[in-house]
Formats: sequence, structure tokens, C-alpha cells
Amino acid sequence: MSLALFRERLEAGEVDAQVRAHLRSCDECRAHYDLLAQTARALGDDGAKAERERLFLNHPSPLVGEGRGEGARAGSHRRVLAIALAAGILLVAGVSLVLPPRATTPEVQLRGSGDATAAPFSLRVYGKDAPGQKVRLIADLPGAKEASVNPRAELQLFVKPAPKPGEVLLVELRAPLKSASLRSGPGDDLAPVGSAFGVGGFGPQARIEVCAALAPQATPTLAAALEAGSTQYCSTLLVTP
Amino acid sequence: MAEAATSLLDARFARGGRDAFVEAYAAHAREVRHWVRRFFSSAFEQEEAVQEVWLTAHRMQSLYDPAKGPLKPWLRALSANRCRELLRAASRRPPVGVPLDDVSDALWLDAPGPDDAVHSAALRVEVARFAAGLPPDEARVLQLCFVEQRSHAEVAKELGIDERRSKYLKQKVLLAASRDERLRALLSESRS
Repeated sequence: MSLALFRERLEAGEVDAQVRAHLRSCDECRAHYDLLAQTARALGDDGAKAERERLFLNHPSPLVGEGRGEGARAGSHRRVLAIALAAGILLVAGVSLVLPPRATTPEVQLRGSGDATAAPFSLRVYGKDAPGQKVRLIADLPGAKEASVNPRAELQLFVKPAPKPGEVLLVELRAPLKSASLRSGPGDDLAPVGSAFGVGGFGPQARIEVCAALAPQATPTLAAALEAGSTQYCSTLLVTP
Repeated sequence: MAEAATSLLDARFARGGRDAFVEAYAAHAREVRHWVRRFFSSAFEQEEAVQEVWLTAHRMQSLYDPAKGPLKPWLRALSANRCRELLRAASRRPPVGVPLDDVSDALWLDAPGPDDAVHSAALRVEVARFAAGLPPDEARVLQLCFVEQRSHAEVAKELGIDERRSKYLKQKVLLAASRDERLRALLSESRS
């Protein structure tokens, strides 16, 4: 696509997710955008307003009630209210009932998170428990949700089935000491995701959050994929000696 | 007093929640923008990287421990790491001036860039020259839209015009500035 198609929208400041997706892969349009953005900055617009709006207005869900503070409190208030309501109904009815166990739903859910059991792919974690040992299947994420690995383990991720042509699986590994971004490579049925890595670098007793999402091939990062509407599936690798 | 307020904010941020995140964003957004600019010369890439940094900070909010240090160095190290990852993901090397590894929580990021002060002063002079050559209504729009960051509704009310006219004038000023030879030369110099 040429600059002519996007020039008008860029110059009118109508830079939505679709335009941004195009800018990521079009050098010509990006150069024009850069010139306008830097000119605007020189004129006094530091971009703070647009940045804030994009972060908070376009993506409200990850920033609402997720913390260990307010989210947990809101959740406990809801539970207290539900219990009081249930008790009231019981009293009025005068009947003793055994309430069925309430389905537990996670209070913390990131933007675009999906049900791990319904993920359209399987992220296979293969590895050796230590250098020189046999390679084995360690976990099948995100369905397994959690797996333990040895700090000396060397891992290689694969995705099954391999993403369709024009698609890529973007994976982020996040721990306090280190984080890493991986992309799936070509493959028929099973495609490698990134290259092999040692678990030790993430810390001796780390909790590695593994989040993955399918996205169009040109998508640079997981965050960009989520912004464009992809669903991410997260699970955890526990590094335990 | 300011230090106490900062450490209170750090503790609230560690406890989690939207309000604390928004406060931390308000307190450190400008610094994050400054840090990210050291890694990327493209305005678009800077904007993308800033979003990435804050989304990562939000995801890792629960991992921040105020007992280990204030929030600012944590955010600075996180910004440097995320920017390096983004460059690596694009198979690019960091620009000249970015150390290969950080041994001191990316402290170098707090220092001004080598030509920042010179370019800022030169830009102010050129923008003043450009603004002086604008018709009065466009000069007013430059002040209200760009400098004061007012919305088109506010600008329209202030100038007694409708919002479409405000948008048109803003676009006109921006395009004129982007075609101004002297401003353009200075901007391309600062990019390189």
C-alpha cells in the first residue's frame, strides 16, 4: 500500500490501531509519520496526551481492578454481598439449603486473556533437565496451566499445529530478573518457537509467566498483537530446584 | 516531604491497583519518554516502545518490591531492558551511545543526550520564527492546540469557531511547519 492511501489520515492525526499496524511494516508511511510527529513535538506537543489516551482509554481492561489492592478488595466485597444475599434468601424461605460450590473465576485477567483449555494451539515445552540428559516433553501449555522445571534445565518451545501461512505465534517469558520475546519459525505440524534457552537466567526460584498469542506475521510484539485484538493465553513455569 | 510522598507512592504501586498505576504513570511518564528516546530515533518507534514499557510495568507491578529500592530506578531498568528486547526482536543493534550492558540500573539514561540542550535552544528559536510568520488565527491555534494541548472543543469555544475549523487549522499549521525548510533541517539533524 502506498503513502497516498494513508497520507490523509496521518496528516489529520487519525492514527488508530489499523494505521499503526500499517506503519509497523511500511517505511515510507512511517517516515512521513515521524516527520509530522517530530514537527508536532517541536511545536510544543510532547505527545503526552495521545500517549495517555492510548494507554488508558483504548486499553482500560488491563488497568482496572487487577492489583493485589483494589481488585482483591472489590472481590471480597462482592463475596460478602453474595453471602449476605444468600443468607437473606435462606432466612426468608426458611429452608436449609446446601449451596453448590461457587465456580471460581480468576480475579486477575490480563487484556485479551482467553480460556487456556480453549487455546487454538498447544505450546509444547521440550527440554533436558540438565546438559547432557535426554530430551523429554516437559509441559503442554497453556492447557496444563503450570509446570515445574529444574534451574539447570535447557528448554525449547514448539507450537502445534504450526501457525498458518501469514501467521506467527508470539511468546513472552516474564520473570523478575529477566524477560524474553520469542517468535515461531516455519514448520509443518510442529514449529519451533525461538531458540533453546537455559532456565537458570530467569533466577533460581523464578515464576516465569509464559504468555502466547497468534497474530499476523508482521506483528512485532505480543503487546502489539493484543492491541490489534489477538487473544493471549498465559501459563506459568515454576523454577524449582 | 517530597521523598515521603514518593515512597508512599512506591508502596501503593507495589500493592497494585489501577489508582496506584495511574499515579505512578503521572509521576514518571515524562522520564520514561526521555529514557525511551535514547534507544529509538523514530517518533513512531518511541511511541510504540513507551506503550510497551508501561504495559510491561503494569504486568510486572506485583513483582515490584519497594524494600529493594525506589520505583524510579526499577522503571528505568525495566525501560532499558524492554527497549533492548524490542531492538533485538527487530534484529537491530542499539544506537551509538547506548552501553552494551547496564551495570548500574541504566543510570546513564538520566543524563541528557549529548546534543539535547543545543537542539532544544535552536528549535525554540526556529519555532518562534515560524510562529511569527503565521496569520493570527493560526498562531493562536498553534499556541492552544500544540503548546497548551487543548481539545478541539476548547479551542473552538475559545476562538469562536467550530471544531472542524479548529482541526483544519491545526492540520494546516502542522503541515506548514513540516514543510518549513529550516525547521525540517534542524529536525533531521536531531534525528541523526
